[in-house]
Amino acid sequence: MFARPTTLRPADVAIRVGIVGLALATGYIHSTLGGLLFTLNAVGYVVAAIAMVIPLALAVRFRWAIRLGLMGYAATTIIGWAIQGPYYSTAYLAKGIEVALIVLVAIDFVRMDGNPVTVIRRELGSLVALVTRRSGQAGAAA
Amino acid sequence: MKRLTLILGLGALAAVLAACSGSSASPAAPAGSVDPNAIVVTAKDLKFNPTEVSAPADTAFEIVFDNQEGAPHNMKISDSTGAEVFKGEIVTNQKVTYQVPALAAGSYPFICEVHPDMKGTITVE
Repeated sequence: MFARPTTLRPADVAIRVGIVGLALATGYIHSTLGGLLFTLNAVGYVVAAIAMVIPLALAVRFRWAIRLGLMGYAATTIIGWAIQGPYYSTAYLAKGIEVALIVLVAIDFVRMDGNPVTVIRRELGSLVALVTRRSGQAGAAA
Repeated sequence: MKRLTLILGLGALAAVLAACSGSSASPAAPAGSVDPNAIVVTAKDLKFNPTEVSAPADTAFEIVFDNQEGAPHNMKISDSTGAEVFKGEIVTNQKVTYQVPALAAGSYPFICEVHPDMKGTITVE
């Protein structure tokens, strides 16, 4: 269930701490705004922050997807705000944090997973192989 | 690679610092010497109270906006076409006085910019 401990370099630890801190910071800001949408947004950031560090084997195996998801989540939040506003100091602070978060997660992705295109291609290949194997087993059983 | 990481890291830091210097520019003043005929609107539990208010036509007027909760609120007033005619400063747990310019007779919906579900109407007559 839990992944075997891995050795992280100090820079990796600092980046990960930064990611968690920024995610929790923007999550906290959203939690203070009131309303269902902002609260759900805050919950999303807290869940993402936990997913970035939890040592579960499944989370470690798919950390690349969590990184992509977190970048997409923050980008969606920024785009949503850019379209609808409101434009005031707290919102600018939250968006600055989210931009910094995306940059840090991108750095983390490159350091831990490498080229995103290669990663996605590799994972798609694994998925296709799995589906092919499963359908082959199902055909043999029939 | 290390240089790229450093540049991206500094970029992230700059983004946060730039965001911290952001400012809100909208008309508001602390509720001090207020017109006794000023309209009073409170915001609490993500609702305006009252939601229907009246104001004189062709005369500038004041709205004492009292946000009684931790969530940020303001009043943005639009005309019947949806064009913005006034936007108050967003405040938290604070009472401010908005100086609204003279408006022609008519019905003007207002909302909170942060929570667009908070709605009301100013009838100018």
